[in-house]
Amino acid sequence: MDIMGSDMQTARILTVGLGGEVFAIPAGIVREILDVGRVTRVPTAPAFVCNLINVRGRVVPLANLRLRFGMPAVEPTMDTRTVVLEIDLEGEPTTVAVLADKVYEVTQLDEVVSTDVPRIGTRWRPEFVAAIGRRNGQFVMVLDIDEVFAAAGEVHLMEES
Amino acid sequence: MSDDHQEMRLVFLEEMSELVQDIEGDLLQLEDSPSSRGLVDRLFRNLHTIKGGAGMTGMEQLSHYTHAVENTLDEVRKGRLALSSDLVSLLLEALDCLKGFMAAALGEGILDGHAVEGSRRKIMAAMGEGGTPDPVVPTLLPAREPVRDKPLRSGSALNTFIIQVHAQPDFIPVPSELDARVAALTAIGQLEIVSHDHSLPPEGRRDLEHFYLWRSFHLVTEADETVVRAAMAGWLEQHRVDVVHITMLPEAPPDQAKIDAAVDGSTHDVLGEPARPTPALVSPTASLPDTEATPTALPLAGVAGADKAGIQSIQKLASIRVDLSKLDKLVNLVGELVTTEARLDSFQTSLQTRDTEMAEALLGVLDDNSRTLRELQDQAMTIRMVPIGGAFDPLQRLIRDYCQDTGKRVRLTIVGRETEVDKKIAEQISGPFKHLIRNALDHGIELPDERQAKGKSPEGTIALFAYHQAGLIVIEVRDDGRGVDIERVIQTARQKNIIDGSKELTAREALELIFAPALSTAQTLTEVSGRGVGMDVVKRDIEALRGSVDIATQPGHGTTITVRIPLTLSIVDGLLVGIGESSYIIPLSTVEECVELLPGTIAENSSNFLDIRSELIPFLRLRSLFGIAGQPAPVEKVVIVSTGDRRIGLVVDQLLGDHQAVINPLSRLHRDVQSFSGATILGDGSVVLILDVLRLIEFGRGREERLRAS
Repeated sequence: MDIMGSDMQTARILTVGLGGEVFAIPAGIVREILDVGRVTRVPTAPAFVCNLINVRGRVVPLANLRLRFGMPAVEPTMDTRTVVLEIDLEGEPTTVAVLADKVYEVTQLDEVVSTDVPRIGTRWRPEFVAAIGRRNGQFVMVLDIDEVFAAAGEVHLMEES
Repeated sequence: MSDDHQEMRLVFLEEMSELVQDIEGDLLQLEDSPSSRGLVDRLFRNLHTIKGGAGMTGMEQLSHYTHAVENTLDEVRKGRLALSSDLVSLLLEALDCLKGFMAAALGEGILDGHAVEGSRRKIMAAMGEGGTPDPVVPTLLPAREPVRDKPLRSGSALNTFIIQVHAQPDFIPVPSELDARVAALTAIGQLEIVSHDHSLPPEGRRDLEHFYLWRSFHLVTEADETVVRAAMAGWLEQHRVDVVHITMLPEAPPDQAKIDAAVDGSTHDVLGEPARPTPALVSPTASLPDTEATPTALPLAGVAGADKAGIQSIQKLASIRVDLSKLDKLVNLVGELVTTEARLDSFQTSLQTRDTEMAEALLGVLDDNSRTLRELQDQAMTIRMVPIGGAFDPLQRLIRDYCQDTGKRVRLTIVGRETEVDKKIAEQISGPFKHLIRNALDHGIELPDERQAKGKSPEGTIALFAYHQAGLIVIEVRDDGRGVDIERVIQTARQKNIIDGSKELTAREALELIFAPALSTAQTLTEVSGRGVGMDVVKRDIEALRGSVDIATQPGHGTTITVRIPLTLSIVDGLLVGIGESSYIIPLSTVEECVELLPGTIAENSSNFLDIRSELIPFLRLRSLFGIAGQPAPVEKVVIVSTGDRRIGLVVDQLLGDHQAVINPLSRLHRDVQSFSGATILGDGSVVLILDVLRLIEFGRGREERLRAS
């Protein structure tokens, strides 16, 4: 996701809630938003992507971004949604799904605060965040989704050690 | 290069690939019946077509090379050169060169210029030995002078130049002048002269504004273009001289090449061939290249890339070539439809209780839909299917070359060439079958004397049978050789510590040792097999295709190896098993039997082995392996799976029945996950993982070895 500066300002985004914070996913890569359905656990897979779901007859990996960002996992609620994304995984177009505590809206940022995310002061790895912006007076972290999935194996190793 | 030209070339390359196949078949047949006039004629015609096409499409070097081969065959055709086995070998070598040209033109490889030049020289030499000298033609010079050699140091880079001299129509050639040029060129390399006198329009119809192609010099040299030009110095002003540097890719400027092709083709009227129209020559504006634009070597990478891109778009003309990934996608989509259909069916069932009339109507629609869907599924599968015969084609050549080297005599028969199989499988079995054939050649078929002494025909037979059976393609490789010496296999296995020295083996177990890594019973190592990396690799490759390999042998009478592979990689017949809330699919082809896990079946002194009919089989509790919470079923079931001789028991809660599963590969996010080969979707929409039995068996084996070590 290489959207910078003014592009970031005008780009359409999907805002989602995770652990009380607002994140944004570039709307262009969002395929659909589904209710939470049945999941199939993949034994021995990294915890962050340990489930598979059926999206219209296709087997799609389901990622729990909470685990990726170091937040505790929670049971799904009425508001929990599955967001299906088309991402680029090491050069291969891949359909993945992510869980969101809540899905807000498809919108635009009011203001881009920073595209250079500080290494300190954020709870999560700065490389996952492409930019910080503001929407309705609230901070929004625009996710770099490719980066979030890029190092999936790494998490696995960290958990094991 | 113009688009038109490139299009032509792509069409030509496709045609050439068919011609080359025909040539290969004919050559191999020719060896058996060297007197067949028909075969020689056909070979000649096919080569001639290639030469012409190459010229027309600017593949100068290819045209030049094919010309030499064609000339040799012409000598054979005219009975001036005997078709020896050596000559067939040379021609087969030439065939490899032709393939090299094709691969290079398609951007799939780089042409080995040395090999091509070497082959050309050998062929020319063969012609010189057996044939008559080049016919003397009634022109100022012989049409084609014998090659004049300046010895070339091997290892240095060779350049090929085509020097074309375009003379004015009123030019009166002075022989001494020509001799001086020839001497200058011969001093720096290997020279061949082609006369184009016959290409001049008749006197009076010549256009004084134009130059006509008069001589071509084909020069292979270590020198660069400057030196070559210097050698032509005396003529550069007087005539128009084009010096074309032929690069390793058969690239030449199109227009230039067109002339050459036409001219080259028409040399045949001098050589006694029927005259052919050469329209390019009488429309000089079209055929003569720009004087300023002296062609030089073309950048390799760019040209190759452009060609490749062009091929993809052009080959659609003859037959539609589809990216396999698109077909995969189609098959996957059909799989999705099948899954959705199952869900519709379950809705229809639940509708029955609420609105019978509606449910009945819906049933009718669903039935129609289902029929169409089956057909669509079958069609989608057949698109990927190709006849297996193509995978066997390289074997004929392998056998021929082997026999040539060893003096064995072997006939290959193939039954069921047209048996269809998934393209990907057809591509992947070629390697394993080469191994199998090599094994049969090396270990099975005896030398002619030995065979005769045993009362067999001196010529051995290797027969391939391909047929369909129960959703599988079965391919048998039968040889009528000496069979497997089971005693020696056991002995070797003991020596190499593959088996325990004291262990008694059944005949079948002993035979299975053939597939053990690092076992080779060949007395001596040979080039083709006997390095101990044959059968275990074959087995692994076949198993990677979810197939199996079996062997049967009859000492003194031969060996049969039977390979069974599913017709497609995208569907698996599976056994659905349940562990707690989860379900998994075990490929049915690997399932040997299912038993209940009763206390009596667990071997004494070990909690990891089953005792089944006094045989110890390691087992894995999938519940603990997969970290599934909860209590196991009161009576657990064990599914005993095997690949070849390796067996393992997989403990599950329940057996849920058969299921035909459309395989969805796991995404890259799960590439480190070892125990599963993919996932599928059941009728109720749930996702189920498919077990990778091979990996699980390896896992169990590791456990077994650790246990034995402790």
